Amino acid sequence: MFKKLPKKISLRICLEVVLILFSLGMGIYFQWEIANLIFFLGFVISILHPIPSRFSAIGAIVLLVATAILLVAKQSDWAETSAIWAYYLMIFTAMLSFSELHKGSDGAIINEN
Amino acid sequence: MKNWDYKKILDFIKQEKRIFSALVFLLVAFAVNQALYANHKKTADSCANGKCLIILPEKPQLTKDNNYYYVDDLFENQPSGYYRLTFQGKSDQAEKILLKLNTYTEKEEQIGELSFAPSIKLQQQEAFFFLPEGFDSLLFQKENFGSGGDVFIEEAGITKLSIASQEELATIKKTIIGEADTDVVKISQLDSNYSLPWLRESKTALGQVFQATENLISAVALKIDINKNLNPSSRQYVLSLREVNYDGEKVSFVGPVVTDLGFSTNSIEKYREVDGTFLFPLYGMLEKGKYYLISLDNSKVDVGSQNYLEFKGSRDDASYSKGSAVMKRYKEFYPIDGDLYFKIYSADFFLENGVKILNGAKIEDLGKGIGKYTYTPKGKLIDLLDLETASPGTKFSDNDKVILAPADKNASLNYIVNTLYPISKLNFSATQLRAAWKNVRVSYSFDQNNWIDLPFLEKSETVSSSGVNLAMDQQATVTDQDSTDNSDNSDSAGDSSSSTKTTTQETVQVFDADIVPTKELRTVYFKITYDSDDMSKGKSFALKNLKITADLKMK
Repeated sequence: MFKKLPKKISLRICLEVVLILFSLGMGIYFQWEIANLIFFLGFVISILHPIPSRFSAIGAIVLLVATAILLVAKQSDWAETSAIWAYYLMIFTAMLSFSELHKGSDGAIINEN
Repeated sequence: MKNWDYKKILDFIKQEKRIFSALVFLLVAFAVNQALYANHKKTADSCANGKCLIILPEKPQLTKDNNYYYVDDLFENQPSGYYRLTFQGKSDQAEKILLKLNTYTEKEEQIGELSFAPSIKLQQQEAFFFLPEGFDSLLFQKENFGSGGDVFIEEAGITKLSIASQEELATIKKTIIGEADTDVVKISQLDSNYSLPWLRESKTALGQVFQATENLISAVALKIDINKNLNPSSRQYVLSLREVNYDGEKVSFVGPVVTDLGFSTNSIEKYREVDGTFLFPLYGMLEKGKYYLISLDNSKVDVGSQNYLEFKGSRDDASYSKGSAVMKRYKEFYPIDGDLYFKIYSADFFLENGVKILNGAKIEDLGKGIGKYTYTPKGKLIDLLDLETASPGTKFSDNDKVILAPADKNASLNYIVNTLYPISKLNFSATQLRAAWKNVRVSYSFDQNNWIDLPFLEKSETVSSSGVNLAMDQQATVTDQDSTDNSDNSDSAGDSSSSTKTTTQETVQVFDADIVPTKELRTVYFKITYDSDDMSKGKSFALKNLKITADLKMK
């Protein structure tokens, strides 16, 4: 059955599109805010196409600093939102780091062989 | 499907691990969210009969299993003599209670017998007795052990009388105690068959316009169904009261917010009543005949179809003819079909000979023509009712148990103290609530024309971070180390449970002044305001430990 698919659109791309559409559908079903939906999509895309964990780590640090500044400025609502985003990015970072560690250990085993 | 298809699928899974990791992640996220964000509706009707009450009712002091109630150390350091005992009591059945003097050595002496008729409201009671030497406690004891009545006894206190013989007791006048009836519904619309779910839209306010028939509002009851998931926001809805112009078609604001109250989807439960509705304390001065709007604003809350408050009411515009349900979208309020379920509460004050007696004020006859007036706030929301007038924004702080007001324009808290009998000497004592807040100015007058400022001392006191006094000394040297933040949201105060042990020294104003009228007077006016010359950053002013006492000539 896979043979019938056009060669230019691989099955992998089709499944990735389906997963992203499913993520969007979940966001609409659960009525997430736009920002939360963007984070969720980022999460899913980072599983499919990992990026270096340092990018999300930098984002998390920037948001944590922003949280402190917002608290000093008595913008508690924005500070809460910023802290939640920082938390999301830290989860990103942890997940990507595990992935990078896993890759590294795979590589070490290959090198030893 | 042929065998080679399975093999190809397995090979594909091994090759495309990331696709399947993402799929597993999505399925787990869906399952978690389905559990977390599923709508859990709690309706007012399902909460009727006290099913959802989180504040448990107080326990009775005397029950079928507990036949004794001791008020310990009531007579400690009290000299022998004649005394008056006052307390509030009620029982759900007819009960006879024996009053006894008691010591730690179990020595007892009966001083009286009280009869309780079945009642749902606490009744003021008093008894007179002679206190011999050697007793320290008072004992309430059921006459019939094991009888089924639940008896509540509260606020027991004694006053020494000036009499020296049993014969003089007969001349003692009954104690007068001011007691406002706050369970008074003045305006209502009780049809609740229609749902008004508009607060599920973000940045929306929904409310009810009503025409004031009284000069005071003490609370409002609303019927609200709660739609919430397992992860509701802690952000706050704001319930506010404002004067409006209303002509049946348009609604526009007049003046500032009279009072407001913030609560989250979780903390709203503390306002739950036995019948499942919510009773929100909203104190404010109204003008009869004018229109006011009570509205609930969700601008700060993340609402959605599974997380919102749903008003109940009537679809029929005629169910309340002098107002309408109104809705705000994009900064404009406009009337909508129907009326909310609402009950506007006011208060009926205790009147003695046509004179309003402050709630909780006590006028006692001590004998020999001497009387005593005592007023201390109860540390409850009902204290607001004792204010004759107050500026907009005046509210009761759940945290500090005092009345506070925003320090702007001509803000003031005004009391009228009427003692019924001529005053020989009156004493006013109180302490500034927080040093970081605006300094307080207290003035008194006998005619409301000539006002005299009361003097005060500056004293340093040690306070815990939660504001509880630990000690007080006569120094005036320590600078204020407390923050200038005077956040006083009563709702957050109700939610928080401060357990910080840190203490600070701060210099506060202490008022303790005697007022001696030069002519026969029964009424004194007090105006509590802020010192407009105080340039500190405080935004509010308040007094704690307020006490007004007076020696009276009881002819």
